[in-house]
Amino acid sequence: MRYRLVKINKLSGYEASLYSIYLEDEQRTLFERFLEENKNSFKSELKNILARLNTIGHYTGANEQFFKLREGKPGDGVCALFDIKF
Amino acid sequence: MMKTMSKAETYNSKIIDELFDSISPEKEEKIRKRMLLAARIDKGIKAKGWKKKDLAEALNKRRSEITRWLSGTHNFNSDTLFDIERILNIGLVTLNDVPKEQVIKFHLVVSEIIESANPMSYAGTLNDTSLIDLYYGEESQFYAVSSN
Repeated sequence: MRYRLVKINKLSGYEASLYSIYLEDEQRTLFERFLEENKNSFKSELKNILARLNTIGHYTGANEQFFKLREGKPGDGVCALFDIKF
Repeated sequence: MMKTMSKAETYNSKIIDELFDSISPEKEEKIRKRMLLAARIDKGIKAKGWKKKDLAEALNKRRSEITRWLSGTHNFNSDTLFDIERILNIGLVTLNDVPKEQVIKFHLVVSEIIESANPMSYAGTLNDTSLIDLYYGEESQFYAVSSN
């Protein structure tokens, strides 16, 4: 599968760069697709996620403490942001 | 065959901009400060050579609770912050007012440097504009002083 990595300008800063992925010839990145799919039902949660990603990019960096580790398949390095109330 | 990597292009997204711009400054500040607070606590743990379990034991908490504190999503109460400050010997809550810097301009002619005088003395090199330290008894305060 062909893909293209792009840096998200709004959220990237001196502390960290944030990227998303264009798959094949899609017009939206995976992150934009995620936002579109959830903006009606989970708008508040999406805004919280964006504010946290912005903080990571501009203020703190991607500290391990902000992520749930081992969220994907063994060894793939996938991690996730914590739920707002966990 | 050598693989080459090109630098990822930077892109702007309308939906990201729209959603991000709809976050109130107050809400964004709270989210940011929670994360900065969590980062400072994590730094304090590491400065002591501790791990999360050490802080959990010191405060008689479960390790999962420390994980929640460090996630940057937790809304701390003041007693918890005071406990963390005490155990890690770090500052998290500022209670003292930060003195505001005062700038006073006045005509000043210095004929001699007085080494020490009570209840008031001064120190510092006096050029056109200088920072001098004025002492009132045991209290001192810095002033930026202009000679013109």
